[in-house]
Amino acid sequence: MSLAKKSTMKIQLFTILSLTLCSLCTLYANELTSTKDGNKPGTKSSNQNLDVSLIANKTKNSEMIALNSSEAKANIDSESFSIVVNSNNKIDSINKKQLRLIFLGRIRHWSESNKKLNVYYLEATSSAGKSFLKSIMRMTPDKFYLYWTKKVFSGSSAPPTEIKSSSKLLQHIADNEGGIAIVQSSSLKNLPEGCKVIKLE
Amino acid sequence: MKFTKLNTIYTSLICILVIFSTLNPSYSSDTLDFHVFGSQTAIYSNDNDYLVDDSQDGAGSFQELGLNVSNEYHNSRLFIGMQVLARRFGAETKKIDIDWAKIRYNFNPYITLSLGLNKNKFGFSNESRDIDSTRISILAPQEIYQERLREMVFASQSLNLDGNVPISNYGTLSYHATIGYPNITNSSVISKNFNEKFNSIVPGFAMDIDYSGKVSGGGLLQFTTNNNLSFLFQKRNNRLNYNIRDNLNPTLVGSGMFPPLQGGDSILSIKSDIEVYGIKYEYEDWTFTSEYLDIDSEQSVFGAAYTPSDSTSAYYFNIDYDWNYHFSSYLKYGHVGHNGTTKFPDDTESTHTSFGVRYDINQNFTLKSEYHLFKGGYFVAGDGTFQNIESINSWDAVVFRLAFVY
Repeated sequence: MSLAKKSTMKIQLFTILSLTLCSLCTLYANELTSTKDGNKPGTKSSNQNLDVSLIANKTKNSEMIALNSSEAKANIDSESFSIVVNSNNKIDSINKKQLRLIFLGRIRHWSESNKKLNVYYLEATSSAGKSFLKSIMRMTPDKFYLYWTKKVFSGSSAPPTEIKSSSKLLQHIADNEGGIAIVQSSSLKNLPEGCKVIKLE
Repeated sequence: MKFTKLNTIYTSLICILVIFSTLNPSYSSDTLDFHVFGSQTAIYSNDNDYLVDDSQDGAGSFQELGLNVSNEYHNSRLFIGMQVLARRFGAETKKIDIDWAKIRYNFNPYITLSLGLNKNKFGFSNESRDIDSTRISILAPQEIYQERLREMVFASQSLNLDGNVPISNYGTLSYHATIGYPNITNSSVISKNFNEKFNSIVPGFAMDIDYSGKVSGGGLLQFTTNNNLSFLFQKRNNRLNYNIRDNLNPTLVGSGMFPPLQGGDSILSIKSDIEVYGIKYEYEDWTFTSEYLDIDSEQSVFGAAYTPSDSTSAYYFNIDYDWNYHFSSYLKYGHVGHNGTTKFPDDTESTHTSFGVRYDINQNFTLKSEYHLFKGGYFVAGDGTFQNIESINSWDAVVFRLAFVY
């Protein structure tokens, strides 16, 4: 291909990409606007989880009562999710970015204890799973599976473990000091000993 | 099965470690991971062969089967694993190769080192190009992940440095740097083609890869925002040296037809400079992807100065949509411009439009069907010289696939 033709092709491509990028920016701006207005699906559940209080090291229902009524209501919402870690873990909160990087396999160890992060989540197609993927990962369950299939078959890292039963999932966290899990908030009623809920900042 | 010496070393090492971890489960942080994938594909074309170059009346098939095994040690910072891939394209001899076999150590999120036979990070999809379930289309876009260039970019025996750096609240910058050998041997298609070409001129003539001159290196930067908008830039260089095989008929050298080689000289050296640019955006059920590839090759004969030999520019646009948990579809448009001194006439341009559907029967089995419309001859399978390449105006193909992953 002649140099002139190649340059023309590059310019055409650059123009198309620029237009695409502008369209995407517009889309993104719209998304921000709707988020501010509180209309965006997914935002609701993540905001709810901002209110989730720490139930550190405790498993008794009496400790759960410490939540104020609105927080408790948010937790019982069928679509809300909560983040649970082992009660020996010193952290009290985690931000969205950290949570996202953990579930993308980019953070693989707890910085304080140097322990391996064992990542669990309740079925991606469950309401809590979908809510988590949409608001934190900004992915559908399909895209989340695709992402991890790519990682597994390119030898990048092991995927988070998907577990169908909330009780089994919580038991994994209780047994595993490096564990972190996304669970349906309603399942916190039966939080076993050895688990605690952490705040999402 | 054809193994290079290095591949044999990887295999032995990894087998020993796998056995060791099985016998000493306390040393390993996890149980062994096994995964399998495979596919059966059928192609029907109305004019030319697509992908499979020995088909009859444009019909052909190919099969793939892969198996990987891996484990993590030392608090999951050390990863050891390998993947074996068997591919059969049409009547091509069944070939079983090591797809990747590597040892990786993760120091922290910012620094990971890996050593071994690594699948190259090339564009968005090279590492997963053979894994059917990672995309809606049957094959990774052939404009960028061309089967004819597979050996040049697919894998390297290399040392890789990778990492992820969070950039404030905007996203993550991933980097990748690599240095090593392109995974091209004397049994590779590119080597066989050279030998066939020269053998047709001078019987008994054969060339060997000169490993001392085989180098592959490059880097990749990818920035992904928290909203799953990704930008990618990559630069890669390959260098191959070929020498005359030792068993060359001495009379050919004595005749003066071929000058004796000096130290460090190769009969043929090829340099390829490869650039890839990409943009990808995932928004709910939509995924938009576009990549641009630029390859410039130069060659040198008998140590003379390098001269341009081949250049390719290609791009594609792809839109995916997930209708529901089972159904998804895609639409793609691609273009390739090629200037080659041997295979194609100057300024050959080809376009490729395709669309297809994917049906996930369950998490393990997938059915796919797609239609392709080609204009031009670049996507015709095979490596020979096409006498009537300019007469190829428009042709089409349909492709079906059944795939599984576990």
